Amino acid sequence: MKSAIALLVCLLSLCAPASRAADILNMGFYLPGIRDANLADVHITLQLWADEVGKAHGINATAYTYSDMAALYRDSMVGKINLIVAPGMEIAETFAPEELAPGFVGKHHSSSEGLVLIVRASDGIRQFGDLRGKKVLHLSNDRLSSVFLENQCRQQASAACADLFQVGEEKRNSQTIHKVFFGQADAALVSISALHAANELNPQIRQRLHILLEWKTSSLGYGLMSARTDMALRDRVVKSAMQATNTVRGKQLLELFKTDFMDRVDVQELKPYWQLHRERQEWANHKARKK
Amino acid sequence: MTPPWLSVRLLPANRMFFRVFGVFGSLLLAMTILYGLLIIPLQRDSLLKVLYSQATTVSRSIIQASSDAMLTDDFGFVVEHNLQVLQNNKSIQSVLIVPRRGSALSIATSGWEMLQTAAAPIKPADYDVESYGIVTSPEGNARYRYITPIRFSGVSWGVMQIDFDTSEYEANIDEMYRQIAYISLFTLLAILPIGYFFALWLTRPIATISQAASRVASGELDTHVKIDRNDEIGDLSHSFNQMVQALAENRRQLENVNLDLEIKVTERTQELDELNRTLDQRVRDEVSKRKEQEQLLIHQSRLAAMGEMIGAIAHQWRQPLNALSLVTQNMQMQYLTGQQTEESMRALQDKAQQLIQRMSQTIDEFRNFFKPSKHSETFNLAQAIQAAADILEGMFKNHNIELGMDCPSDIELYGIPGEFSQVILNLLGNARDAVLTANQPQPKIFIRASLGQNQVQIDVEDNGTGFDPNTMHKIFEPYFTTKEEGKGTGIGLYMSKTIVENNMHGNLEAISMANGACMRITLPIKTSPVTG
Repeated sequence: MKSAIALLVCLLSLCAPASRAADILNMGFYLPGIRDANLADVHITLQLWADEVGKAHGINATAYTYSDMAALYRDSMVGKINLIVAPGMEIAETFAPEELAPGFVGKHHSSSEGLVLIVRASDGIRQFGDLRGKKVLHLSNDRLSSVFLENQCRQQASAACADLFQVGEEKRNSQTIHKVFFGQADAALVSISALHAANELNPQIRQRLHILLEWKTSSLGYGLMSARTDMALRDRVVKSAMQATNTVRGKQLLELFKTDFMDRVDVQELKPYWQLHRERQEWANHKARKK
Repeated sequence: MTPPWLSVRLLPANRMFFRVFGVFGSLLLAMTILYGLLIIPLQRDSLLKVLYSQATTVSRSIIQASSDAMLTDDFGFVVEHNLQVLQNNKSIQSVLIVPRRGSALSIATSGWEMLQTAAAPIKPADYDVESYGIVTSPEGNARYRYITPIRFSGVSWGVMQIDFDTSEYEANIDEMYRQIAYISLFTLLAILPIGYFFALWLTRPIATISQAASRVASGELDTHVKIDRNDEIGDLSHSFNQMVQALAENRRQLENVNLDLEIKVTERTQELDELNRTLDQRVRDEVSKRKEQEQLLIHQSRLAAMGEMIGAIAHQWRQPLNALSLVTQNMQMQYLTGQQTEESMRALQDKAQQLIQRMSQTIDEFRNFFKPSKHSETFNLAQAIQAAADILEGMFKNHNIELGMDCPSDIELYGIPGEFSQVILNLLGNARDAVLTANQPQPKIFIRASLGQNQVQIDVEDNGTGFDPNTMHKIFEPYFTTKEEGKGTGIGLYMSKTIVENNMHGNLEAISMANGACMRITLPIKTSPVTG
């Protein structure tokens, strides 16, 4: 999600020189998707950069925050929001592909992104079915983790996760990894980047933990333009954003949010999410039919 | 023309300026360096206390936040929390948590790892001891290490070691050194102008007064010091000016006095010159006058002596004259009676001739006695006294005065015999007058001479009136006499004392006796001329 914030701020700063006096950029920001940053800090940062860029380049940049994706969707549909910043799963569950336009995402050089289900190597868990009766953790308020884990339980055990093992939630990925490492949980679903970071901090983690399942994607958070936005503005924003890492201000933002570079993202890159969403819909419908 | 500011000397040429400047500068610099040397350890301690305070705060915070996790062996939380602590506090380099049971956790900004307790650097013996201080890592980096026991409800759970980055501490120390260096440099730079003006302010008035004092010492009493300051130096300059003013006034007065003195000295010198010019004449006049007086006295004395001699002759001649008168009467009687014969005539003539011869002899004797002799010679004392007594013999017989004499015949003296006899004659004459004035029924005069050690003493005693105590001290003065008018000249004793003391180097003194008086002559025994 940090990548998404960086993307948004870069857009604010880099789009400005290309904008006309009448250009208006309204950003819709889904706050529950922010997990590893202080919400107040994020909001202040966004507004500060928006004001600074706006004054310097004659653009009216405004940041809007949302706690409900439905509200964000409504504003987007009526043209109030040009840019949607939210986790990929929430976007896929809310928007249809034709309602979105290409945007940007913050990426790391060293690792790919996605989810991994980790277990202790010493526990002898070699397949998903071995998790029966175990304690499995995932991030709280993380729609992707919930959907992915539930889909796995349905697909591999034809049962609800709650019926297979004890599900627990933690606030942070690192915390979740440490719980498994120290034996306070048997398995955990964490992001690939988080596991990579934990491995860097303690190589013992790589030795002790084993990846049971892996699901990859381009990013966990996205900033996508609304399909209703003027094409010229979208192109101008895209071109300028590609040069984000070439400017001092852009580098500062990437450093601030620990993102290596900004990359153009197409709407099609959200296909894994829509796939998860469809699977989720299918077993939900199946479950409803059985009732 | 040289501008006035060029004539101002930037460095005053007085030693005191350089001394004050040097002392002030050295003192200030030394104080600054001393301050620096004193402040560095204090500052180090202070910074270490800050580190200690930070360490205790961080350790308490970690222990307090992780207490539940530690008690429940939730090491994931412990790691998570400490990673956050390390992330939020860049000064903490690492945290090492060593539980009494289980594995130790080494958490650093670069990562964390689990350690076997035995491999942990803290030994169980140190679990209950708090320690802290600067340590050096194996890589050679300095760090502040704080080790504190972890206790819950008094029960030891383990120990925690926190390493703090000392770069800030070292930066502070470096900054402190830099600041002290800057302060020292600033002090050094400040000393130059401040010290210069301070030394100038302090020494210039003193130098001014000193120079003025030198000018005053060289005689420039119109010197005036212009220092307008409201302090001791101002008072000093004011007093100096007053002193110089008083000195000038005194000098003027002294010059006036000197002038008066010079005038007086000139006058006196002129007077002295005049006096010197006339002194010889005056001395000559005085000497001449003195001689005249002496001549007069001698003349008077001689006249008195003549009187005495005539009196004495008269007394000597009285008997032969009576006898001659009887001879002439006998001749007349024989002629008238016809008894005159050739033989009787011849007998009477022979008789008369003898008498006349005797009278003539008396005159010769007197003449010889009083004949002035100016030649000193050795003479016999008894003979000289006897000669004087013979002159007055007739007179003494007429007045029934008994003259006694006790004088050894072998005493020889050296001097002018006539002058000595004149002295004896004067003393006998005065004794005769005294006994006659006293109407003594048995008037006596006695001359006694006795020989002492190198001197002879001659006493002329009488049983006359003696001396009047009121006038005794004046009896040797010239023209002083107690005799009736016409009988005394007042010269005799004066001349006698002059002869005895000046010519014969003896002494003449008057002694009162119970029945009369005694005149004592003391003379040195000399038989040949002596000096002095």
